[in-house]
Amino acid sequence: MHRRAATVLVLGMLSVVLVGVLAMPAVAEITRGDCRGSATFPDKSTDRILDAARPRSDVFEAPLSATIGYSGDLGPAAEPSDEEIPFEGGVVIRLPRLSWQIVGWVGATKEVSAGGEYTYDLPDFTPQGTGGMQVTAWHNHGGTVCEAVVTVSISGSPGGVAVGAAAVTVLAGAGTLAAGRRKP
Amino acid sequence: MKGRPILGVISGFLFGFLLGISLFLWGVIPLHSDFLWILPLLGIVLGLVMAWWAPFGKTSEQPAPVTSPPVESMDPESPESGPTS
Repeated sequence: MHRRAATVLVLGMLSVVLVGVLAMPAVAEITRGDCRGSATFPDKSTDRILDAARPRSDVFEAPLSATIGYSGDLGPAAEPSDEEIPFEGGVVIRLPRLSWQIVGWVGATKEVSAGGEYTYDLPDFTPQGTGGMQVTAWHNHGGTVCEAVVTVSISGSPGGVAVGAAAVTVLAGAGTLAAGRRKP
Repeated sequence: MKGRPILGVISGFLFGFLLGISLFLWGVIPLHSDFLWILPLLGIVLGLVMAWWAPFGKTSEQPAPVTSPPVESMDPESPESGPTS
């Protein structure tokens, strides 16, 4: 009887977790300013363009390595200036309760748009097929602030790391249940 | 507590932490999900509840204390006299 009740307790906790996950709301994308921006992944067969206006709830699957083309501007009303304006910006990954800036830039320019190519190559042990990572790109151009949020995951299927983590989780769960064993 | 609270806290924390990591690795929750720090706390609570509840294992039944019925004094005029061995 007690064993059945303990099982129900554990399954109940898992159900609460899953219900909470499925109930997460879909929210918006460009959070500040009128900026526009996109990145093109030419090696992908489908869903090649990651646009800054993409809804946060729509996870974009990026390959483990790629050469991408990017472009962005400060908005339809922005025009080049005669003198250089200082700017700064960066790309931030949101973690639970904190954020981690992975790329940053700073300088001065007369332009209001930029573009080019960028090549990246993530190590093979990078987890693939995971839940989304919320990536925020921000840019401050002489006081004009833009911010866009997209959700990205690395394409692929969960590999041995995920299986190992699940196995260790089961062991830790067994240890937790063993805490309910009476002392002699 | 009838169970093992230290084991419950340690393994419960690990269970919740690893459960969160596994859910992320299997694509169930995103990396920024609050569940990644809530689950370890829930795991600790679960471990303590299990240690307090202790539903597993044999119940340590202590033998009932043996009480002998009071022996009436042989001499009704001497109430302090007890049983003789």
